[in-house]
Amino acid sequence: MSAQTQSVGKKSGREFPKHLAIWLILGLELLPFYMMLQISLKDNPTFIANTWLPSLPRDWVWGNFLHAGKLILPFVANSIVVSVSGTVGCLFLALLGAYFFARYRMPFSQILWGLFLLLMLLPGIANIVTLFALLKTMNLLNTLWALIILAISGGQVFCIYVLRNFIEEIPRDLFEAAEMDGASHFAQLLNVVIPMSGPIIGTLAILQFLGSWNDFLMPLIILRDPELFTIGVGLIYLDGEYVKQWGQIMAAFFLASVPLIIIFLFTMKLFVRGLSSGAVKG
Amino acid sequence: MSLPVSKQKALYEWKLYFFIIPSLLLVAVFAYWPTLSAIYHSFFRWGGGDNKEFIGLANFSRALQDGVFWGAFLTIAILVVANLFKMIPSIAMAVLIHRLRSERWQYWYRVLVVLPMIVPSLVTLFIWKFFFNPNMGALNSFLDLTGLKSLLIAADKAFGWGGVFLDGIPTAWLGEPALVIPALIIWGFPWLGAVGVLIFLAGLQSIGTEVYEAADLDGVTPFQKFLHIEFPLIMTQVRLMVVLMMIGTLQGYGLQFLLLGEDGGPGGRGMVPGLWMFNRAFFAGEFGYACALGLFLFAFILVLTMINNKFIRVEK
Amino acid sequence: MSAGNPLRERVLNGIGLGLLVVCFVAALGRILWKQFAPSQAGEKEKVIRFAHWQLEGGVREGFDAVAAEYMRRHPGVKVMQIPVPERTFQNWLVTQLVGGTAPDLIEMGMGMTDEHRARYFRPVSDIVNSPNPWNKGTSLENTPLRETFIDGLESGFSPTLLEYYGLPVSAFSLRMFYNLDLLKEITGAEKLPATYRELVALARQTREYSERTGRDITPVSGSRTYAPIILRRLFGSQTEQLSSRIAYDFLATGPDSPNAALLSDGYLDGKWSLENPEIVAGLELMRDLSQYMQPGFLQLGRDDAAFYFVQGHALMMATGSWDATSITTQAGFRIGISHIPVPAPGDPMGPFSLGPISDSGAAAGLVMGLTRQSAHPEIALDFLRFLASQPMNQRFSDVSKWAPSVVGVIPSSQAKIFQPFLDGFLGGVRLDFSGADSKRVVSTAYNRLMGAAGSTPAFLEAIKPAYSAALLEDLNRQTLTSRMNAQRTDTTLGALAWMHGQNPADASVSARLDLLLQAAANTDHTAWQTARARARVQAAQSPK
Repeated sequence: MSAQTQSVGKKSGREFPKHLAIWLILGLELLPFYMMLQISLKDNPTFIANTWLPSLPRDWVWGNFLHAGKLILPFVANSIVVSVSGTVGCLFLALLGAYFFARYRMPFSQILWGLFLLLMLLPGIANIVTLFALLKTMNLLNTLWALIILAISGGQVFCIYVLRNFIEEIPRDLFEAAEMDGASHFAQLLNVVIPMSGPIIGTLAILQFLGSWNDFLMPLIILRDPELFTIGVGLIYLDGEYVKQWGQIMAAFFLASVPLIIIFLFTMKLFVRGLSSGAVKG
Repeated sequence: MSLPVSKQKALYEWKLYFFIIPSLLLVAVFAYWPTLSAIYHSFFRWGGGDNKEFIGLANFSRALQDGVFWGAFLTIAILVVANLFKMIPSIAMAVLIHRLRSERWQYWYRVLVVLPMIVPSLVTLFIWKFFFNPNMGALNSFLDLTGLKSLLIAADKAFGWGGVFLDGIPTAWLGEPALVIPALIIWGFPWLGAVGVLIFLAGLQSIGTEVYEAADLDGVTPFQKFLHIEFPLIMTQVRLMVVLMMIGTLQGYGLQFLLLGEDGGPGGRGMVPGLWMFNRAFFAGEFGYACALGLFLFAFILVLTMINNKFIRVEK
Repeated sequence: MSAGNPLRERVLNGIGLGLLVVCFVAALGRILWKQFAPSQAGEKEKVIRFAHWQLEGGVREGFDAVAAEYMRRHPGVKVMQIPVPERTFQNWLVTQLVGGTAPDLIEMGMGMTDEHRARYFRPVSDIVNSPNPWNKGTSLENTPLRETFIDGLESGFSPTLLEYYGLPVSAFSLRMFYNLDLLKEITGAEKLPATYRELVALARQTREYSERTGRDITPVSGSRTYAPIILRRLFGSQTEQLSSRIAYDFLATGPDSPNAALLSDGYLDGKWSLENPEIVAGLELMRDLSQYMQPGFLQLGRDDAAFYFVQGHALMMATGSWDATSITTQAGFRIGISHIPVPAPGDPMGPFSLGPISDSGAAAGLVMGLTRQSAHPEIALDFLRFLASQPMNQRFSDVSKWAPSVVGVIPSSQAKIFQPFLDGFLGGVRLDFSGADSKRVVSTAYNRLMGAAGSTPAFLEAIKPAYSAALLEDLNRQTLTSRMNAQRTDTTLGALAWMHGQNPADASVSARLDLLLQAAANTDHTAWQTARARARVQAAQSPK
């Protein structure tokens, strides 16, 4: 389905109306983003006087960002720790697991595979209630560990599922050559599998990262101390303020998006690819 | 396929089991255990702590008579139907992008479609909540600006909506029972789903050139082209998205929780089954009952997933 | 795809990854530093945490000031506050209590049941009869702790569990806020209305002024949060006599649960009905004043109504003392604050009035309770007493501009008007007195009373069919709760009875035994009333 295979000139009709229609939808879609940016540089009275248009650069209230930064950056830091550790841990373990399933058909591996596949079917909707009780008995409430472990375990099934198919398609000679050199399985994973599956790992990483970054229900019931809050809880608390300085709030919203913006800028392709395959997850 | 191994080889490679043990442990503890525990605890009056009291099927019979719970399914049904229509922009977008001649533009539009994903979903949600704000919200000021408000007021009078829209009064989108579901539907306008667009595009890519050429010769209009060429070819993707959407809608309650609060907003109009489960557990402390509610949902979603696997993914 | 080549993509991905790693290391370093740095300073710090939902302007600063003072005097103790938004507070409370992660002190009230109180909170009854050590050197040095609060610690007392569960830090009251600039513009003077008659006259004058000048000014800005409170107060001014006829000590104790049970029973028994002239008069008052609020105010949230007022669209707004700081900082005009009057006795506008209604019941507020999960209960209790001492309550009140809860604290000039007014009547029964179900039935019908086409008969017609069922349902629930409470006290009762037998002279044992026995009797009485009422309703419904 790569673009090169499409022949040129297969489509007809004038291009301009299509572009116009696309931009119209995109414009509406990006409206919240635009509002966030332009309000983040206003104070309340300016905003009431002028809702839609950005204010002049000389009137920009940079103080909003200063204030919002103080408020939200600690949450961003916690979120980065949770999401990065969760993603790395998840992919590392999933690679090991997928390697196990893909390399040999070991005794019991069919049964174990069945156990994993079954979880693709079972919805986790009721789990939030009992997970809470479980974390309580494990003494993990009000820790970032709980969130990291949940991120790692939550991604296992899907990642192993995708990675297994991928590893199975790596030519067998590569493994055999490595084995001849006396490489252990772990060394094979490191030297054969990982270099060969860079893009799919990147894709999965982005999906896991997004999932963990956007989560707020688990953090909301797990975390108690404000110094542990991740972005999700932090924003909910921010929304609960009575006196709302919208400029500051929007600035905080923007700062909460910055890490994702950076990742997006540098890994645009993986992002696009990752989301296309995201639907397999179900 | 993975290589079958002999017994000796397997014994020799026993260390390989260490590769699967961590994942297996995690999945057992954090996926299987909670599910089994939920089934077990649904037979108890349980406050989440160590004390519990076996009450047989009482939680289930209570759930069957729970008006809020089944009312919430009605709300979900409305939202599912609305979400069906909300897929139209994604399909339209995919078709528009696909019909472009320039591959460069195709690529960049794809990027732009994905762009909103970099805003955390919570932020998008709160910005929309702010749009709904009666005094400062963009929605009211847009309606005033374009004069649509007076249209709504006239409609209110004509159809007897009971004073939902009043002249000079800011409309409380999330504060008026009759407007809760409309607000939940308007939310996210123009309802472009990045994942949806990309999946539909993938489906469209399979259309051969000759089909278009033949269509051009027959002089069909763009809309007919969509109806007779493009839409039938992405039916698989559409069905997939419909099932995914239904599962997602049935499972989701974060949106309702954050926009409307744990009671589903004024008059409880925005209450959905998942939120009621969450409410019972973490607001009322009725963990056992919440487990029973969760199992009902579990059953519903399981059926949907099976339908999905049986009829829709076959072609993959 | 068209943009870029693989090498460029790799480099870009690499840079992105690098940036992420840098951020990660920085963030991780920050967390680790926060966790381990303080412990290097010497012995491990003891941390006391307290949680509340008062996110209004000034309160957090007030608490911080007191906490800083406590830490200054107690090196090795760290006091941290956890402000939780009102909207998530109940969820937060349940998760923390059930999860065993509750902080040492929690503000009592919102979403808290007797069950929570009994299971998760430590009563402070033991300390309320001795002086507060932190009041040493003040006028309250020898006063028992209970007497140092303006309400005699009624706010910390649970009438169902018969224990004190916390100490109040502030005082709450509802007041009318005026836009003084606008008042001057309309009336030519700045005199705030003192009687209900003057209030209504001012509202009418404002309406006329608005119509004459074409300016968009509403007399009173209402919200679905506060307007019903004010209006119910007016209603209560008419039903005091009725209430005391049905529940004989209503005027002394107010609508506590035994009285509520008596009133429900009385209604189901036909001793009073929705057609009673007192009820109708009360509803008429509610409707009259509501007509001076902006149409559709029942849709507006608390923030929205405040915003409306602050923008200068309304002359008055009724709200709580807790909003004062936020409002004065946001308003671009001068603010006047006064009590909310009810009709004077003999005023034909409200023929059943006995006199002004006091702020009692909720006079002192922001009650902080001690949880059983506290790791350092002695320190937490000590901090609680510190917080409720005269000097610290003074500091809290000075910083937050909130009214104090402790006797002898001088409120700031702004807070003075918020000092609870205690020299009045309790207010009679409201239609939603019995609990969640009557509240639901009544509040969903409010627009039938206050809407543009509403009226008292329309409202009564709307609630009448469901009203007795709602009362009965609430009565049932109340009985169930008190039964559970009684079961919980049974063991204690047994133990006390045994102790009393061992040492009949111990007055504290016999006093407690008496209290508990009385509570048990109350419970039995309520249960009996419910059973009776239910039997009667069923008999009436079953076909002959």
